[in-house]
Amino acid sequence: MEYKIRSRLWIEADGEILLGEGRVWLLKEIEKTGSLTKAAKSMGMSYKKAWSLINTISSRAEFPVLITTIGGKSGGGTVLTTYGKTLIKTYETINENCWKFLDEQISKSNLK
Amino acid sequence: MIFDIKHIWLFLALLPIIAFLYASVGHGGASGYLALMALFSFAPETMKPTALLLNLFVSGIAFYHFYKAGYFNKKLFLVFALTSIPMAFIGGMINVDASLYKKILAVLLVFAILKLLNVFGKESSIIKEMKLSHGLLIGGIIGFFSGLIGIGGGIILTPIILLLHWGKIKEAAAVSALFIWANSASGLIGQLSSGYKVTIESFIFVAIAMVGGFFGSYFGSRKLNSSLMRSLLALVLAIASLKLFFT
Repeated sequence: MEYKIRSRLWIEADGEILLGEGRVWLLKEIEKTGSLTKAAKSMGMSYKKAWSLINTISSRAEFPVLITTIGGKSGGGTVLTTYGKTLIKTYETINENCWKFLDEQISKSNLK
Repeated sequence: MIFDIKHIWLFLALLPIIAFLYASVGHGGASGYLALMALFSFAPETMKPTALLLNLFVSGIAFYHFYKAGYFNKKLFLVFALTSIPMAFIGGMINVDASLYKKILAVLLVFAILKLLNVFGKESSIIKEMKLSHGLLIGGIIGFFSGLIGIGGGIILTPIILLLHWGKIKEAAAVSALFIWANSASGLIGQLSSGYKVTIESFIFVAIAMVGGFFGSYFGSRKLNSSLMRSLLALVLAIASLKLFFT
């Protein structure tokens, strides 16, 4: 039998959830689409729910994660800050390393 | 002689506490020192320059800590400084009875305090991009108003950055600290050029206040979380508001 081991990670700030899989997905969709509305739509999530998640991330993060712009050629939108991109990168790197470690552990085990 | 003042030791004990509180949110503490000096019956002519000197050093150390911790947003500072410094000069040249304007500011600060404490409901935490024209305009208004009523402007700048969602609280603290330092330096140069001499006692006060300022800004920039900092800022603004309203 082939065994798989999985885990879900989240980063906490002062004991409260800052970033998990779903929030990272939302941030990546915002980065891709440049808009919170479009990101929420592509994820099948209500705008209210997406806004609430982003508001929570923003209130718990030490630096701005994203900045909303008004006006301009495209009529404004939402962009990730350098810190926001670093957060995503950090989460994904740790997640990948964690999964690699877990795969190694399960393959080393004597589980039959 | 300042050290002839009654209960000077109590004053010296309270000084670093004021500096700690203000520096934790990136402020110099001038309104606190002035209120404290008024309570201890300092000679009016020594109060303003002494407060400016203390403000200069405490905001300097506050800026150092917030800058080292990576919270300084250069663009935000430059936009405000560009218009506020000349407008503060113009405001300072206009001779008006500032008492009414101080009371208006005191009331506006109460509104800012209530917003900081989320009395009107939880605020959005999402940061908005500051438009250059808005930043320049607001910098000019803050500078003019500060010059008009003779304040450094930090108590206006920090809540404005937060209430307009142009930065997070530690970024606001870093920008305000340098803004206050620049205004205090300019104010002190003005005082020195009009004949005021810095006494040795003032530097003893600076040394004592710096201890509070050092630890306050260290904790503010490295240890305190945003919600505690918002409460401390509300306390600082409340002291400033009371001072503006009653003195």
